[in-house]
Amino acid sequence: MAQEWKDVTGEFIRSTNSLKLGSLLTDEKFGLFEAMSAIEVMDPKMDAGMMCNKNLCKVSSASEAMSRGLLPLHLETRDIIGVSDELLSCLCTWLDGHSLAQTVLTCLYLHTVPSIKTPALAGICRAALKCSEILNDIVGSSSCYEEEDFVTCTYGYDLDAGMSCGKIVATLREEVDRRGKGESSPEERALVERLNFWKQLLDFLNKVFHFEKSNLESLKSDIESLRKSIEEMSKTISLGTQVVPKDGIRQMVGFEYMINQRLLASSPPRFITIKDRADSCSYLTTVLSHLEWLPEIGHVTTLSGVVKYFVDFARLSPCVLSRSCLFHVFHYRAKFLGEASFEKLVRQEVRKFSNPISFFGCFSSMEKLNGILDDFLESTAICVLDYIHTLCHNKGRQRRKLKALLKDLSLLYSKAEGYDKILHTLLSSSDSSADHHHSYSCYVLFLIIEVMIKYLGLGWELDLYTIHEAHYVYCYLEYLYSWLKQSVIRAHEQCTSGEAFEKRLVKRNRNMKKKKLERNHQHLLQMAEVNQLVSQAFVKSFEGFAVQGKLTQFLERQYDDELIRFKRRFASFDIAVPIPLDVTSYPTLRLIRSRTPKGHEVSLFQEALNHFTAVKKVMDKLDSPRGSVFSELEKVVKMNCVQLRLLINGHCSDSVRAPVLDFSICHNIPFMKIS
Amino acid sequence: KQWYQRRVRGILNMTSALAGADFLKGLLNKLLRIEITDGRIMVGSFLCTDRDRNLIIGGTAEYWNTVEGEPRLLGLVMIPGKHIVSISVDTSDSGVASLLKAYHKAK
Repeated sequence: MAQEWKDVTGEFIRSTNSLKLGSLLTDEKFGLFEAMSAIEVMDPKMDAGMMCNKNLCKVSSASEAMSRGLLPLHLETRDIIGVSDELLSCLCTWLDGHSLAQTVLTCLYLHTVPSIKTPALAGICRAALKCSEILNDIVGSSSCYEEEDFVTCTYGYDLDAGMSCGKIVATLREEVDRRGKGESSPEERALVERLNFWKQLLDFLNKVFHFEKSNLESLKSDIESLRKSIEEMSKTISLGTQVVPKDGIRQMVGFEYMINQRLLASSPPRFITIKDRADSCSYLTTVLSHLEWLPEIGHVTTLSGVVKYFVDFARLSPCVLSRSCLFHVFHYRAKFLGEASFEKLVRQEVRKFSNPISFFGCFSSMEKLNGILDDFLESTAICVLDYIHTLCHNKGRQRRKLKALLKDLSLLYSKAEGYDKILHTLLSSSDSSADHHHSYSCYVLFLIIEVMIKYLGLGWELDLYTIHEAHYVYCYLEYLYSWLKQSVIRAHEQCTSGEAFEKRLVKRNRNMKKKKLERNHQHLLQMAEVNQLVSQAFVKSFEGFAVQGKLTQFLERQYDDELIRFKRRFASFDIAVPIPLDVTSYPTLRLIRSRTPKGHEVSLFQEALNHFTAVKKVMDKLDSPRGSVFSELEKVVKMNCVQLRLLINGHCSDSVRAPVLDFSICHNIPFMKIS
Repeated sequence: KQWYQRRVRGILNMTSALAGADFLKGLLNKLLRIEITDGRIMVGSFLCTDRDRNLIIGGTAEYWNTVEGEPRLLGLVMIPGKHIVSISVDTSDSGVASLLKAYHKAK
């Protein structure tokens, strides 16, 4: 459609002059909200097309670079080392959250691999492409990333490298062997090291992507040799051609950093800095230390073990690659480590926890029972998988996902309650001693409480709570631990009645063997008791601090309201079971401070000290193996006792500095620091 | 007589003011071609303006030279009035053509 443009600048100016200052002339449908996202032209930060932001590329494609002779296809050893190191830096920058277009794909050689004449360079480029493809697939399929973690877009580029993994590894090995022969200069050796590295990396990533449980152990040595390679490479970075800054623009042979700028969305221009080569090596070493968790997953056999494993892993705030690899392997082909079904894991765990009669083999012919049983196991498995998936996300996103998970778990709980009722009536109709009151629901309750405790714990890990909030956080934690004990007690009752039922069955049926299963109810109860006492101790300590005036700066804030804060903090816990702690029953610190005369904080501290002493008593009785976790706990409890004794004796009684909670020794339970 | 002249001038200003605002309203959602100070040309639908001639145009295509090169598609764009060199309309659109005629008549 041909357009006939007529200049109306004069008319326009005259017309706009008649508008009132500050008024806008718009259509009815126009919205300021949408207009907020308009790109402001001639603003360097927003306008990607401005002269100063304009594509300062010398070439617009790799083929153009080749035809203009700007892309050397025969490279000296020094140059190959430089390109390899720069590619590695680009890879690390990509893993750090930037786009492929601005990192790995700025290497012109990757766009034109078949034309490369030097086999070493060709091998490295193919390996880099293939590694990028596999990394993209692993992270993409695991879906443990958010937009701030990783960019999976490949911008239409084909990362396939035209060769299978095995072939690339073989060509690299050939090249290593060829160059390894005869006398070698330090540069030759450095290049061989890099060829080795890329070969090992590609092999490792391929093993993870096409995972087989039998390969797990071998991953340990793979990670170790990768680490050694990186160490060797970091020593010889200087041997490669370096990036030369010319006219303020980074120049590197074979790289054109702005070549893909036009592919990026027309949002504000983002110029990224590629990581320094030495930094990339240390970044990779950190990634490898997270990946070291990968072979350990083979030692986990129970569901509770799995949950503990991922909770411990998540605490490290690991990188997106390790989180994705771990989840990929854990969930391979929708089976646990590619082999066992998740329902089976859940079944084992529930059997250990509450020994439901419905699991007994004598009922395996009852269709209705089996239907209910299968549905319960399937639904529970989905929730548990969701929990593990959430733990594999970055920490900042976990709380919101846990809130959604709690809603799902709440639905699961009501389902489990319903199933318990049905099964109880069904089984007790044939045998009045059959007890299935809480068999399924107590396990789901246990899961719910665990997730809630994790949710509160994340608040500490993410530094979300101000110090005076510790009071209600520990109030709620104490409440949750009492519910936890309830669920374990219920489970224990079910187990005992189940065992009695089993005994009678064995008597009746000689063929049926009685299977003895180790239960850890006692240990669970003791740990819950320990945590409950600790929470009570902190509650009393903070009440003491409030009375003493150490929290005045927080309690006196003009628009602060503890009850509103309480409601908002625990809004995520608004589910049916456990019944949310009633905000009106919460004793605010302000109230306590006004009610308690000054000087009486000593009795509060004494109460706290009593609770901690009681903790010590319970821990002495703990009969499970004492690991490092136990000794950390002991140490922290001791330090808190010492601190409280000092406070009772009047130490720092005049100080109005707020106490600090230190989680450095024991990640679950802090010790108080007063100054 | 002076009072009368002032009154007439006031009425005339009002009419031209009306003419101005109506002209702009008539141009809403029509294609505008805007040349800016660094030589770029923005073509898009006119969505909003104000007294300082800050323009918001939608579905914008950005051209780099006067010869129609390959445009960059930007979407919603705000052009500060101070950077506008010229504004053109597409007279092949009959609505625009009649709008212009009416504007010149009112003057």
